[in-house]
Amino acid sequence: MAKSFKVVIVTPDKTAYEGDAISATIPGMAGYIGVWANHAPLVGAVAPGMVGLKIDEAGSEKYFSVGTGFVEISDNVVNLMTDTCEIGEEIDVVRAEEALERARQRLVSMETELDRERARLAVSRAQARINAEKHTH
Amino acid sequence: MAGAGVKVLNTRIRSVKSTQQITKAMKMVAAAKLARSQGKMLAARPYSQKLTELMTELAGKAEIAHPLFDVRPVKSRLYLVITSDKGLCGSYNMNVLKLAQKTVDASIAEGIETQVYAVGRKVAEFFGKRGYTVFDKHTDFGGEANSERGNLVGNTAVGAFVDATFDEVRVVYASFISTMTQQPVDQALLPIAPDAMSSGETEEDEKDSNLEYIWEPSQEEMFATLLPLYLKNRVFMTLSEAFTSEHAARMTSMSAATENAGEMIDALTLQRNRERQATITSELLDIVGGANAL
Repeated sequence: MAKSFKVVIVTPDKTAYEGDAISATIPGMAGYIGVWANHAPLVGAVAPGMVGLKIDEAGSEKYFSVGTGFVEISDNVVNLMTDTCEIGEEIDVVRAEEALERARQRLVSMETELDRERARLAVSRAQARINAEKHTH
Repeated sequence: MAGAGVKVLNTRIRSVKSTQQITKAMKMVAAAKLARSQGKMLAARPYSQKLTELMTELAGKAEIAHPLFDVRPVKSRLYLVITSDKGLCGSYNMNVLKLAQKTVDASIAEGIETQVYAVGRKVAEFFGKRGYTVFDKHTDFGGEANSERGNLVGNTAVGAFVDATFDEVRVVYASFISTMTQQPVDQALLPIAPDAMSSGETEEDEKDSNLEYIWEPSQEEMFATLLPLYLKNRVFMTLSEAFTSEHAARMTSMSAATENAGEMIDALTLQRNRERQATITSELLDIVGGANAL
């Protein structure tokens, strides 16, 4: 049986998730980070995206959409700090798709680089929420 | 005539009773807000703690060079003062303002150009009236902290610090000790003192540390993003603590006011009953006297 490790996801409002997992995928700034038990100590920046957790051998999984933040991995504990976190089951896909559409339009219409960067972030957030929801079902 | 006294007393009792109703309602509202605010504060703590832990870890290891660490000779200073927008919360505002005025005056006496950054209507009014320079103010927070407001205040403070408008930013607010006690404190906010986070870890300690982290991206980049986040979170936690204190102060003072109103009503009722009795007795005497005369 695969070894499990502890995962804690905290946001400024609450502790969004605390539990064990046997593997995790985390959206890093430079690409997805895959985590299994006994991972080397790591500190990474987290980009808006989808976090996937494999809970047990039977294949039960959990998906979250997270915002920007940080992850710290040491001693088989994954600490994820992020500004927002939503669990897949609670995401309203219709609203997320609307938000994605709006963000895409903004991306095209915005003038300054800063605004475009914001719109890009909004697109990836909305995309992450849709992905998290889709994987859950 | 004694009858008029009874009437006056009745009016007083009614007016005290309606005041009591107001203070009672305010106490209950404050209690509900306190519970919510305190819950939020506790819920925000794990995030803040983890962030501080990570910062401590980083501060000991990374080469520190960041605008927010920039210690300059202090020629100008900004005081972020946090109070409530509304009164009726006992000595809460006055305690904070007294400390704020004392520290601001001391700072001006040192020959440092000092300005006030007001959060809460009471600060803006207090310092505005007394001829201090108010740098900026927020008077619509209504005793509720959220991360947006934390970011807003944090960004303003960071902006003024980074573009060298101010060489130092300090914060004066009421820290929450318990529901009964709130302590006004004066703390440094910017520049961030590295030793406030790390316990003075040096290069040698780094080698001894058994955890060598992989950094993704590099430590410098990480630091650049983590620091503003850390600062904003600190501002947010400060706001949420100040507002929790406000609700606690309002609850205790309104609870005391309700009790006092109750005592006043008791005393007034006693007095009214006495006077009424006196009137009846004297009227009875009149009647008896009149009957005897016939």
